Amino acid sequence: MTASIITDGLTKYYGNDKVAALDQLSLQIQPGEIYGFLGANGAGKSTTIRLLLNFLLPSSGSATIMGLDSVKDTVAIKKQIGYLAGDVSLYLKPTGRQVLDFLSSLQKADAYRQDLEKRFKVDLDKPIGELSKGNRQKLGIVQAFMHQPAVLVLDEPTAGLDPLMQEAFYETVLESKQRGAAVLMSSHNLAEAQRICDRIGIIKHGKLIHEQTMSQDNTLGTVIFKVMFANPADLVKCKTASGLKFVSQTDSHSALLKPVGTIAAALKALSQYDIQEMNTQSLDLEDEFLEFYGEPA
Amino acid sequence: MISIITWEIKQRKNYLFWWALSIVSIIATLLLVYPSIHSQADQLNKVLNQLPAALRDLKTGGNQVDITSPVGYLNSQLFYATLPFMQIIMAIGLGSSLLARDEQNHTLELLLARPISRGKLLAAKALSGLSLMLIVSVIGAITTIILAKLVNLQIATVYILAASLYTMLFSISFGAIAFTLSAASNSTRRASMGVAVALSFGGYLLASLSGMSHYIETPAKLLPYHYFNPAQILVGHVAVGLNVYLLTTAFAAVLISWLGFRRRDIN
Repeated sequence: MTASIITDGLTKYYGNDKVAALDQLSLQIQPGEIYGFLGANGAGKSTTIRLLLNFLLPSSGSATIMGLDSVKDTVAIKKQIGYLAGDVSLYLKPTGRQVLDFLSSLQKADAYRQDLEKRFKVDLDKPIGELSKGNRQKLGIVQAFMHQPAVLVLDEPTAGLDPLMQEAFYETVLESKQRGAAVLMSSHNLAEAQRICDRIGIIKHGKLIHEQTMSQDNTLGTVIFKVMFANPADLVKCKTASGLKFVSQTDSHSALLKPVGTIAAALKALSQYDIQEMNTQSLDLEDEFLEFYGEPA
Repeated sequence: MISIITWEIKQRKNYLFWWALSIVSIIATLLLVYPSIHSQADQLNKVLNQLPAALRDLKTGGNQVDITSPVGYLNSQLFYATLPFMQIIMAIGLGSSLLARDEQNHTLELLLARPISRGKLLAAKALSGLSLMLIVSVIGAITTIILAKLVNLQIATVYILAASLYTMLFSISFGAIAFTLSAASNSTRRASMGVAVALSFGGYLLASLSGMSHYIETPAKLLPYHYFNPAQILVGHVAVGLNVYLLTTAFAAVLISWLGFRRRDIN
């Protein structure tokens, strides 16, 4: 099966910058796959998305969407793509209905638009400038999904949505997945990524540093120790202790540590230190993220 | 493309209304006082022609002031400075905002995320600006023709139409310069309004005063206003230099904006 989104060594330098905003990104997203793109602010998530949409031109490397080149075939690609910007920006004077009608005139939407308007309870008759951030976000979601695209590129899609609308959004994304759409979704919300993504990629300083599937055979759900040391010096020493993998430091005395090998070996390693308190918890995506970023989020 | 043009015009309907109203008001004010000025024309001509040449040239572009003649009146009061100034301000405002405002507000992304090429988007934005200018200019020309008849300014309608047309095209040329700079690259975008204003109003000052000093005579020939002579257009002569300037600007604007916009980052 041909991947819906392929990037190959995609690189972007802004202006005369010597450091790449995106450095040799290579990834593939299959039809029907939801890919979570995680990273801190400025890590390169939005740059990647803007390159895919041809808002930015790559310094080197390439991207293809549905087998088409993101630069040369951008018009053909746009027929099959739905895009939601990070901080959704819409015209402020017209009503939501006027904007959706205008956008539908540029890219034909079908009856699914009405379904989405009902599902997200979009206020269509008020000028957009009078709508709250959450209501503008709902309009943004409708315009991205209304033509049932084969590829969805979503930048922080649930920002500003209340929990009920977040549920409606997840339902809509899963519907698209069932239709066979590939979804690239950048997010800061790790619980959200853990819940709906099939696979995640973590990006740091413009480089893709980790990818993993969210299926049961990965490390998510395994035990992690939250340890409070009596002496902060022990916290430093345990970073290099055998049998343990340092995940992150949560305060001056506490750290998250992952067992390497057996739990018994990890406990033996910990027994060398003066420990005030220790809890176990399941490793979740946030811990994984912290492990790669090496600092509290 | 049509839907982008109509959308842009709808978005600016208040803007269009106020510009049309302002231009109609100015034309009406200037033409409706013609009968009373005409009755005292001899004294006024004497006074105006005794003004320092620099001041007089700013009003007429080097032509003698002759308020008794319809051509002299229309040239000095309307077509040389007042009407082009208003239309130039409107054109530069449009040219520097048609793309840049959408880019600043990030609504350009909404459009570029649809199946429309950058070239078509650029053309749609340019055509919407031209349409807005055309609407205001046609309203201005009709007002001038009707009021000229009303106050018995004896000048052929076709010459008023020609002067209105060339005033519109001349004004649009500065809007085109602003539009081109805003489209071509991110660095020129920031300079678009400043450069267009400097070329138009700076050019007006230099070209109008070029007869005063030989130091500015030669540089003034490089500026568009040097070739804009509505007094000549009102008697049926259009300077070749004006046509060359308009055609060159149009060609350069299309080429540079297209080449630049299709290969630049959208911020």
